Amino acid sequence: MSADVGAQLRKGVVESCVLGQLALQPMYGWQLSEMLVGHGMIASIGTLYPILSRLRAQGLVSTYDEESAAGPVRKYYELTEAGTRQLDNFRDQWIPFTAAVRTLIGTDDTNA
Amino acid sequence: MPDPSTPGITVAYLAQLEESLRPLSAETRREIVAGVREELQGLNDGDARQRIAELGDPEFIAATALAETESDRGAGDPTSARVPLAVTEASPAAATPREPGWYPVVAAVTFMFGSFVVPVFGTIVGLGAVWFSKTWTRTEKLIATLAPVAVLVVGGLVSLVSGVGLGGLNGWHLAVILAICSPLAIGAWLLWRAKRRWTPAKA
Repeated sequence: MSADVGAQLRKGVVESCVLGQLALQPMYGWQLSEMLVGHGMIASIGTLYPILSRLRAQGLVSTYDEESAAGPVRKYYELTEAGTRQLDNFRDQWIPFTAAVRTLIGTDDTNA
Repeated sequence: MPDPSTPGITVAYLAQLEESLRPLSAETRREIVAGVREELQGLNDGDARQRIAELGDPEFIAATALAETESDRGAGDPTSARVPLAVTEASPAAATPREPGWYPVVAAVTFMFGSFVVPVFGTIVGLGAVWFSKTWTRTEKLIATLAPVAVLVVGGLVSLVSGVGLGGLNGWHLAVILAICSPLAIGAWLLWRAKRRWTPAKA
């Protein structure tokens, strides 16, 4: 169990992290991928697209195409209303959840 | 259609990516390739090289995408060991093994030596095992299937045209023998492709 703690933790929150990023502004694939890979949340852009597919299937994210100044048309991802509600829900739960975990796991000098 | 100003490295990278993503669903493959193409579009050779280095090895992208789609199917079981740690760690570790490591080796070896145990049928069984394996792409499997046939046809045509024989065997017999032995070379090639797929690419 010890080695894949990180993997299990990330698995539970990565979708909410995507929603959290899109709440700031609509983003295109590479933008999102760079941010999430940079924070160690996903391993590569290959991980991102199945996640985005799932979020779209659940109606939490939608897309639109936009021409950039430099020319290439980019597909942008944005939050839907349902996505915004889902993110708010997660935010409400996250702080109490991490507080509870911190209490339960203790530190090196409290729980044996 | 790639326009003539697209750098060669971009064209090659996208082609590699398509190939590596074969094990995934057509929809996921399309999305990933479209997303990557969008990012590389309009970049000159130097910028494309840099972005490609940042994107990473196509095999790694495919492995992480596969891990994500497979773990989604197993979702709901937080204790499931199916999320391979190697690909959820943010490091280009070895590609996810999708089947027991011994399976592709047994498949390739059966394909190579099957005919010496049970003539023709042994090789066909080995070939079937190769097709069922997740280690090789469809293109590689097709090559393995068609190559012995090609050897037979080419060998047969050569013998017909030139009437060549060897040590008492006429050309046609020779072509048949070569076709039967060709799985040895093809099987070795399959093993080499499998090994390449399992070994992490150098950064």
